Amino acid sequence: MKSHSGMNDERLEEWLELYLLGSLEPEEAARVEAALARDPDLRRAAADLQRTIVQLLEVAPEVKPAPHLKAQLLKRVRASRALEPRPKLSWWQRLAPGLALTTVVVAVGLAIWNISLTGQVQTLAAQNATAQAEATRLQQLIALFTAPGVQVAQLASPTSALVGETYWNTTRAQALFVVHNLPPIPTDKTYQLWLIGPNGAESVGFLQVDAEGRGHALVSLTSTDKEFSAAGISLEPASGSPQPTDVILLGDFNS
Amino acid sequence: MPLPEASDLDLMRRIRQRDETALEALYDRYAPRLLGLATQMLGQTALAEEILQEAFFRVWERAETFDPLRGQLAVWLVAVLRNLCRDALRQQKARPMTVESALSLPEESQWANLPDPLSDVPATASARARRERVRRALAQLPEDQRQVVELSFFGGLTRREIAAQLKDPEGTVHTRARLALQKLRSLLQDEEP
Repeated sequence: MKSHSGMNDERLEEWLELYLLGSLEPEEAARVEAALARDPDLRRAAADLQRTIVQLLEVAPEVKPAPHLKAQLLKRVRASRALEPRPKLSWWQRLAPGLALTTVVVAVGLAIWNISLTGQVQTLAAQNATAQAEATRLQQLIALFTAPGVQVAQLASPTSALVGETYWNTTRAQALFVVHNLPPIPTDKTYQLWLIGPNGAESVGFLQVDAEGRGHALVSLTSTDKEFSAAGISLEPASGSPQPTDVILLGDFNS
Repeated sequence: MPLPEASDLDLMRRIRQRDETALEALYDRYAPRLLGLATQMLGQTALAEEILQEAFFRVWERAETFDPLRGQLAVWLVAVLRNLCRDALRQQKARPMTVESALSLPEESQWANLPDPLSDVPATASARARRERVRRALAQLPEDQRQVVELSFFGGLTRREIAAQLKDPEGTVHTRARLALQKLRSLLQDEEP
């Protein structure tokens, strides 16, 4: 038989059979197992003999266990399972609940931040729209004043010291009405704006007045082929009038 | 695959995964022979039943220590049972096994004439044939070699105890065990279909 490293060969070979038959003392069996672990030839020899050992078990005397023995075994197994420690969690499994909570908190925070940002964006968008409208208005005003064909009408009241101005740009068909110190009026009244030409007075809009009596309005006409010689502001019913009824300011262009 | 038909290795894999039904299947498969061995080694039915239960409980508790590369499950089970039996006997400081009387094994070369111990339980024809072949092989062993096999494998005695029982040197026990297994292997291989 081939030599097995690290042990007395003859003794080991004698021990192998007794090891497989289960007749070695524990420390002797441990030596054989150590040799088996490091010696593939010995493992093959043992495996070959093990078949014979298993065959011996075929003729072992058989005693049928009483049914309660298995029931007791399973009861004991279940009892031991109840006492088994929970499987040891890996570091990431232990951190998972905290990470999940952190994730939820961060998600909620981000959602709130998102809502806040959305609100800010909407506010900024509104402010931007207002700014753009104001910029457009200012551009229109600048264009009105810088484009050729600007005429000015000094508005005066036939009954009071109230004054104002109307700037009329013939090439852009735009007019700017500017008035100060307008008296407050009832809610069922409005200031209506007029441009007056060869065909009479043409309503061009209404004047919004702030709490301090200041009012200005930039109006645009659809056609540039109209000619106006005067501008005026009248006090009318809230829905407006087809023709001025109570003129409070009136003036001629370039008079 | 139903558990009764599962392989030993598959059952052990399931036991490692804490499958109680696999332990139950393994118990059904091996408990009768292991209880027979334990009863023979201990000479006490009640103690043998305790040992049987403890052996299967250890299988459950220490399933991960079974290494299929180092041996077959049946051999491991017998080793677990035998160690428990020896511990029990040491505690009792008694050894019922003697060549002459305690062992209920057949005397001389009567193995071949023994009735099948499993004749009262359902078994396949091939299983019965296997048992018959092993009994015939044992019956063909010289008496001194067969005694060593009986006292070690079926009786659970250590080599020193066998030497003391047979009043032979330990080296002689070693030689007889070696010759017995080699002859058994040869006989069983020759008879394999």
